[in-house]
Amino acid sequence: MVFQFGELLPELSPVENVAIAALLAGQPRRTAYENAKTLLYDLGVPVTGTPTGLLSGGERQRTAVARALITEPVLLLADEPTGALDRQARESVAELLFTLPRVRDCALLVVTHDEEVARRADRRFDLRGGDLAETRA
Amino acid sequence: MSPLWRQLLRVGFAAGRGAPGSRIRFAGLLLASAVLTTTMLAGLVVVATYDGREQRDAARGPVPAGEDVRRPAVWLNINRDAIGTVPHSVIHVEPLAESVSPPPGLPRWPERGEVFLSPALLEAGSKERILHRYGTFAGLIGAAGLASPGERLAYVRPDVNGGYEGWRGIKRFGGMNTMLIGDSRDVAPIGQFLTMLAATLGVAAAVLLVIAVRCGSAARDRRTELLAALGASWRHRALLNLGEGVVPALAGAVIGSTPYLITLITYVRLPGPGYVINSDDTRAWSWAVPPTVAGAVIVVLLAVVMLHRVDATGRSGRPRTFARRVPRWRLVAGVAGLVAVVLTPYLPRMFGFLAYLGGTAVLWAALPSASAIVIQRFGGAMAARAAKAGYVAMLIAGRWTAARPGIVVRLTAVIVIGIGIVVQAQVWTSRLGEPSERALEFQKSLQDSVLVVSSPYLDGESIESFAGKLPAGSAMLGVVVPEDETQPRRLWGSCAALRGLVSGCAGNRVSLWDGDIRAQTLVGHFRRSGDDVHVRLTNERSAWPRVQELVVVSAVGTGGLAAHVNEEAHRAFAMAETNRPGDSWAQGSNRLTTISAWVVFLVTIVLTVLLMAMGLSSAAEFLTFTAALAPLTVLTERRRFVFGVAAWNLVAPCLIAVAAGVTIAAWQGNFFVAMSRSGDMSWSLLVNVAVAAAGLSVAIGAAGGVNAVRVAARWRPVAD
Repeated sequence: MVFQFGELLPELSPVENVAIAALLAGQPRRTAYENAKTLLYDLGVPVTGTPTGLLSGGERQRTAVARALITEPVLLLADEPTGALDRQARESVAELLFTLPRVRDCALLVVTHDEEVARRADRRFDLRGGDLAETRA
Repeated sequence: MSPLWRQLLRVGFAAGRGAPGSRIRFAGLLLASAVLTTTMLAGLVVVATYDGREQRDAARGPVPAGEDVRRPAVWLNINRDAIGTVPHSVIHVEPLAESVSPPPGLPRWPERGEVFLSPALLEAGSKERILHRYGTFAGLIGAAGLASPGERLAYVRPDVNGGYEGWRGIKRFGGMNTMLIGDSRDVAPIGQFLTMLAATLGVAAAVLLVIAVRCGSAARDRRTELLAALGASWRHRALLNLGEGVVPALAGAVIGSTPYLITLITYVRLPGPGYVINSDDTRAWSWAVPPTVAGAVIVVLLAVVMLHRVDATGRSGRPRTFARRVPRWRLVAGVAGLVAVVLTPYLPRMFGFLAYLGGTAVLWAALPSASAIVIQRFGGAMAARAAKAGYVAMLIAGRWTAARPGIVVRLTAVIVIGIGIVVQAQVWTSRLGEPSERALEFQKSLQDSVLVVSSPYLDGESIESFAGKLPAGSAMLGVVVPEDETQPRRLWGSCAALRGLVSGCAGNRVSLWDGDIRAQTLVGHFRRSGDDVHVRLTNERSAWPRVQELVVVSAVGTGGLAAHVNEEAHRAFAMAETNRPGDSWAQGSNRLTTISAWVVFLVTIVLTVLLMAMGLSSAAEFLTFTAALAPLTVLTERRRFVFGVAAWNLVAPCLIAVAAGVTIAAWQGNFFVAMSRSGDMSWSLLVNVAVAAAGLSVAIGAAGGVNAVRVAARWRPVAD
């Protein structure tokens, strides 16, 4: 699950924020921390020095994505993952999210108001007046 | 007022109703304002009561007739009597001129043999038949003649003709240079009382105010940061805060005024000390209520503005709030308080007393901050250990604890200060109440088996009449009190009267030294230093010389006789007094018992206020705690995780604070006992307090956990 505002704990380091999801899922400590570091490195988040509270918006969302991925889910849910980001960060996070199904072999469900983000999806559904209907690309 | 200022006030007003945690903050400010208003009005009640008492004392006080006055207007003689162990004054009067006005509160002079009683004495003495004790009941003493409506007092005009030796001549009641009578002879100075009020209710109200002002401050701190980024000055911030605080401050002031308003309507008896507040006194000072209430509101608003402290790091313009650090000066102040307490024995008496009180207040006020610094380091260590071991709950809690020590101060302050207050109150009341308890213990073993009756009007005929009214099984001895005080007192009686008191009864003298507890009591009561107490034996009372006192002896442990003997004594002898040996001791310590009752009363209120503060700070902390924890519950459904964080984040800091509080309380309690060489430290109470505080800490953690689980179930992500 990736939230619109990241919902990370600012008092913890980015590595710790990601690792706790793995620890809660029962992974051994060493594996959890190593996987967290690898994921953050892959997603372009600094793993040393910068506290979570001082990360940029894009970095925080990528950290949230890393936290969602560390348990290797079959389905990744993202609720307005780019809603609070600037244009550049939005592109970067959207690009990252929509490559995940291919790279990680999982499904991705994104809820968004952003047409540009929505266009990247294989299938699109519009929610209008409480009715959900598939829209042709 | 400029449009910007109006806008800022409006923003603050809206923020007070809509921001996260605003309900807790509103309730906290309302509660703090109510408690502060009540406390300040309690001070006004004290001032009004002392003022009213002084005026009535001046109006009712007898003015002694000087040597220049040939014939006084009234003869006056004041006795002490008691209901149980609570003493009261019995004022005997004999007007010598028709033109002299009776004392205030009496509609007329009592006739010979008549008595006017205060309502409180009549009520308290109903079981001891006080209505008939001093003579024919003529009516009640009005409130104008009483220091307080709860004063126990009697005006008696004894049925005697002449024989006013020992009486005091007075000119009139009321005026300049009056004598103090009744309860007014034993009243603590107003300064002492107000100091006690400030040190108890005042401190509790201040603690509650500080906690309430900081409650739900996360949203406020974010607003501050935004305002700072927009270039706002402290004035703009103050306006925003005023807009936020003005409604709860005013509403709290209205609620806090209610107790005073009740005292305007009716007499109010305080539970515990039993003091009755006179509504005439509070009405006389009602003009001071609006400024006092306004003062309380101003103090609350000033606190809202002044305690919103922000400072800059120097490296950026970002404001740094107190929740993230603990000021170092508090530690320095705590050490200074500790030093002041330790130095107390080496300082002059009065200065030492003040140093002890001041040092204690500073020490306990700073202790939560000192605990927070320890807890902050503990949090860091806890997180480091958890990171190595892979304990998630401990890791999160450790990082939170290390990052927000200010919140820990608020959460633990009440527990720490509460422990300190309870232990200090116990030590002080043990010091005040112990002599009284010893006296009561002694009297409990003796009961009414020895009663001493005295009167300036003992004569053969009345003694015979009195002897005939004694309960079956009781006997009587006569006591000769020589005018020369160096001469020993002599007791007169028969072997029948001494039966059981002493082992042998022969010859014409019996020593009481080898008798039972009653005989020993008589020795203790009548013996002057170095002499012996003997009983001269005679079977005929007519052979007694003129006696000044009588002793009524009954079987050991006989109870319930005092009221009967007292009543018969008053019926037989004018101005009779009936005492049990040790009465003066027990009644003298009654003042200390009264002070103890005041201490217990005030401490109970203080603890109630502190518990309110605890509830507030816990509720505010739960708000932060649950908001931060709820998103993580998406990662796991295990409730154990949530309760684990609650245990490490809420319970562990509280337990450390409890340990610190109990350690300092135990040290200071023992130090006080050793220093004052009186009272004792109750270890069982300390253990109970420690267990209760630890239980409270666990309850806070459990409530936080339950709340977090509940909130997590319906949590939705929201924007800032």
